[in-house]
Amino acid sequence: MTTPSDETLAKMTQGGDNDAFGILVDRYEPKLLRYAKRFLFGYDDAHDLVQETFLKAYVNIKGFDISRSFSAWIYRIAHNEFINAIKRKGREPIPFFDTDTLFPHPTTQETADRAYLEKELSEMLDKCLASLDPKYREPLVLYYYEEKNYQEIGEILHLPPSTVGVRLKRAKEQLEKCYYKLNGTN
Amino acid sequence: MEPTNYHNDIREKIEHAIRDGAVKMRPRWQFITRAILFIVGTILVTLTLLFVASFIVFNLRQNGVWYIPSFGMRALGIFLMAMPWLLIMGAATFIIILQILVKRYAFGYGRPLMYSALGIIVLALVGGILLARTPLHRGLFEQAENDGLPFAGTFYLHFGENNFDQITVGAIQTITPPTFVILAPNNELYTVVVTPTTQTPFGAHFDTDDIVVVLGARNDHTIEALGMRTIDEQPVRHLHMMNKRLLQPLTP
Repeated sequence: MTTPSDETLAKMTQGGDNDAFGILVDRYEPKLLRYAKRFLFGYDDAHDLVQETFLKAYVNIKGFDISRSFSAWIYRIAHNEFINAIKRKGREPIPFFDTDTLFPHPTTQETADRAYLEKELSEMLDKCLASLDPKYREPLVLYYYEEKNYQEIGEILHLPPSTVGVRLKRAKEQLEKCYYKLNGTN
Repeated sequence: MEPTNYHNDIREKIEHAIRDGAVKMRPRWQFITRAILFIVGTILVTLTLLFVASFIVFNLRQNGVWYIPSFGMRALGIFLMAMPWLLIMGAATFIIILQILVKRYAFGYGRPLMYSALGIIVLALVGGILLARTPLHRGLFEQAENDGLPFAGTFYLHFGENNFDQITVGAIQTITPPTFVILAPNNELYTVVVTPTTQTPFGAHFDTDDIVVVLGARNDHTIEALGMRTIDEQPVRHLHMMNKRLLQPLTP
């Protein structure tokens, strides 16, 4: 028997099948918890925020367009929850307006550097991810840990894919700076 | 150590909340209503922006400011000073509101802000120019003249009045080279003196009844023209004033 797609399960939930929503929770809970813990360093309420994400998804499930990606939709809800949590705590600045979104950028190629993650970048992420601004930390988490492409990250963060590329590039530069500073090399 | 039973814990809590009725799905009609309101709001803001933009163009054409850039760089300062900045700021506010609304749609946030902002500005400019050429504002102005426009009447009658002492629009009454007598919409007659340095971007041939815009400071009832050109439309204020004058003799 084939496994129903996320969108099929969402449609079943819209029709009142709560067990279908339970399956969606099972599918997305580990992913969203990982996203929360990587993105929300130093915040102890990742678990509650993920739970709140699912509750909001359930409440708003009839507003979900099944012709679109359920994954991007639920990640978007999670993103909003996490950003609101960061704003509430007030520890990290979340800019109201970001100049990165203003001008077109040449699209940075999505390279095969996820493989590169294995060693050096992985170490950089482990040591320095927490020191990055949320606006750089989040696309890194989505790209390297959640394995989303630029288009999907753009859908989640409501950004043009080219801006996602720019943020990832700058995020990696910041990571490198931090890493070499920690290791005392240039 | 981090608990390992989060997985079941979250699902159980959610199922519990659903069973107890603590959370309920919002009905589909709420989403549909919200989407419709959003679309209606976007359309209303767009129409308001087009109306304001076309009103700006209409007024600029009426009071002659629109034609000032044709007199070259030295007229640019006067042109900028004469722009209706309050209305332009109003239009800019609507552009920002529309930008915020458009950013909620995938076609808005999926592209750099500059593209959607430029798109909206071009829409406002082109739409404003085209709408200003329709009888809309002329008709509303006439209604205002006849006290048939209760709320916007004063706005229509007074906002675009020419209060710039460097720009004068009028109909040529008499020609005695190198002077012209023009009748302005404020029912005043002005003697325009044309000198060899007067800019005439569309030629120096003028006829009686031509509607012209004159660049140059009004000194009592004389204007030494820095620039002078015909314009392609009769200001609506001028038409009304001319109609009124038919009832009384023309006296300088």
